[in-house]
Amino acid sequence: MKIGRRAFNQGLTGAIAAGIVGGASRAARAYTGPNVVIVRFGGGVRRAETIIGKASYAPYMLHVLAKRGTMLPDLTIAQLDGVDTSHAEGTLNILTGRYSGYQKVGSQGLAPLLEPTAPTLFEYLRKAFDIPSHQALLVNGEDRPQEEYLTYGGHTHYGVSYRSEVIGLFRYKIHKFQRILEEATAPEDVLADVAKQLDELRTQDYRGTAGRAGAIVQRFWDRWREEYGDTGLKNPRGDRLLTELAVRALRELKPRLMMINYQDPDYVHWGNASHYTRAIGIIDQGLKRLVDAADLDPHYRDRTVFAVVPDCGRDANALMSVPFQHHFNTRSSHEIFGLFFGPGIARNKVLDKPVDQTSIAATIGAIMGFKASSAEGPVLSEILT
Amino acid sequence: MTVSAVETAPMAFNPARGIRARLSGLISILIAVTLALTPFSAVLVLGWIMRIMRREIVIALCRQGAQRVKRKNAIAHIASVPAVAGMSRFPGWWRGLGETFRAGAKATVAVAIAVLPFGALQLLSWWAGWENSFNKGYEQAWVGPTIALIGIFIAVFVLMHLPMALAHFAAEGRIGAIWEITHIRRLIARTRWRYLFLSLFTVSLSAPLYIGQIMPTFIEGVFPHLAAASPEQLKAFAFRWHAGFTIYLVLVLLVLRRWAARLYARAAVADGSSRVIAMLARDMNVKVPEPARRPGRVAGTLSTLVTAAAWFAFVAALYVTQFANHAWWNWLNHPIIGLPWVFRPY
Repeated sequence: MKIGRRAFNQGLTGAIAAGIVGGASRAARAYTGPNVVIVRFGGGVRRAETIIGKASYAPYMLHVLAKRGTMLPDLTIAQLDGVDTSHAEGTLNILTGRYSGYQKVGSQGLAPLLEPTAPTLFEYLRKAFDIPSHQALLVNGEDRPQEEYLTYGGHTHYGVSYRSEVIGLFRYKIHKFQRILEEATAPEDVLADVAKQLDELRTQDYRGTAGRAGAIVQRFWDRWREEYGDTGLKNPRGDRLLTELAVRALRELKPRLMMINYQDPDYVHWGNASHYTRAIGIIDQGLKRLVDAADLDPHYRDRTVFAVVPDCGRDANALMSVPFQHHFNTRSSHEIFGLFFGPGIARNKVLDKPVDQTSIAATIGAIMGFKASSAEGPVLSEILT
Repeated sequence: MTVSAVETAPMAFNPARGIRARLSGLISILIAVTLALTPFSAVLVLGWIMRIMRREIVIALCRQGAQRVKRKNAIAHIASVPAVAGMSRFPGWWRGLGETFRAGAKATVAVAIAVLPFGALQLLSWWAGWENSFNKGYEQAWVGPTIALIGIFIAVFVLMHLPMALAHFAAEGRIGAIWEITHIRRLIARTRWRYLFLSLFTVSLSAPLYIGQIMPTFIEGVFPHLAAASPEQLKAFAFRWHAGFTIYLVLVLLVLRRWAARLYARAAVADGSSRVIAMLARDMNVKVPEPARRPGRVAGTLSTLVTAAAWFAFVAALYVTQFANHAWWNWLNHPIIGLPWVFRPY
């Protein structure tokens, strides 16, 4: 399957003709385009440890996947006033194609709660095509409940009706506690404790969407519970958990657009340099599992475009013992990379020119056949065949 | 000659000698700054500071005597007593290098014995705690924080006694002196409010050193040109940065350690139990006052709690600093209280 520039233009023209751009009305067209998997190679990863030099902490991505697609070695986050190089911000840059496409609506501890003000890719897709929420998926880690809230924006013509579903332990815990209370087989003191924990989780869910998963997603979690139980100790942990959730989601939910928010390289904030390099390796292995799973599944084989992109880079501060400990808006933290591969993407190519992070959304829109109208960056037509 | 005789004797004023002494002192400080730039040579600086403390204790003891005298007269008296005459001069680097090295080596061992146990616990808990967190080891999640809390408790206990313990070590010259907790606590109790102020100043004056460690994290925001600097330019910048904070450290240590030494002499005289102090007083023919009455419990408890709070703030600042700019070494050494060397990564 190929999605070239001509096909993209035809798709876009059709979309405009159908009145779906601009949000005039909800389209009910079936989606026949490629599946897209966005891998957020985060939180915060530099070029130095991934794509510079032959030896890399991510050898599978650099030496195997790069040959299957187009590498963007000079992807950057623009140095603009008010643009921070951090995780929720970078994720929203990718999802909305805008640098200021969000607003701060609160905070959880030290982490800001950011809400998109521009439509996300999930909203564009679900408004343009008849795709259920569980097929527009965000796979989140357990340490960042604040990233649960990147699923939809406050745009007039988009919003909650077109949100993505979220798969993550935060959601699973809510599901599990709801089930335990429904079953009512546990001792009373356990039930009281569960009810209390459920209330606490719900207080973190300020948008109130976490406990409203559809029946298909609830069955997904029921199967998860059957296999891993209620302890939370038997399932994979850290970013390996995200890979497991994503691979299961491919098998059971068949998402058309899925974003996986890897995050563990960010542990290096605490000063253990090996957390960063080890986490990059874990994501690289996760990429291999994801690609293998897609290659083995007829629903995804030759019909899936992968976009790999960090949310932000990291510092290259020679005055520190761990030069990449943080990502405090330094030049290096603006310098990232990208990789697209799959049908319709030029193979074994390096796009050797500066590319902006806001082009990711526009390009994914082009690949999937809708226009990310609020995106600031241009479509990367050079990577399309 | 007694101290009172020195007090009444006419003092000949020699301007040239005064200028020479000041110049010599300045050169000694510059050499100390240079030696404090590397951890190995910083051992010598620690020895030099111990010699300065011992001298200050002797001067203060002389001045604390029943016939309170001016500092310059006390120094003149010390110069006239053969047993301590060598201490009348500010310790330099040309004479007594061997003594400086011995004092430095012993002080390094003494400080290490005091600081390494809690430093190692803090380092271990930081490393293992975050290692466990990275691996989501929920089953043993309590281990890291528990070790950290134990380390913090021991750190506060040790640090709140360390300034006086260092002065006691400087007076006695024995490594074991730093562990004579009962004696040290008694001395602290004799000067409780003054010691509290010394602790508060020590903690406050450590703030610029912490800032010196935190600032490199944001250095590109302050000096944007560093984003495009060559390795040589960065090295030159790092050297200037390091040298600047080392100058600050040496000057602050000169103030704080001499202050601690004077407090020690005051406390030892008030306590009247120190063998070395008694011997020095006898050598110098200084008549010390009778031991003072022990302070009340309420005031003692209050000053102890505030001192502990000050050192807790010191430890808390260490954690914040390590989060901003982590270096393993900084768990093990605190330049303001240990080896006078500021860690420099580049």
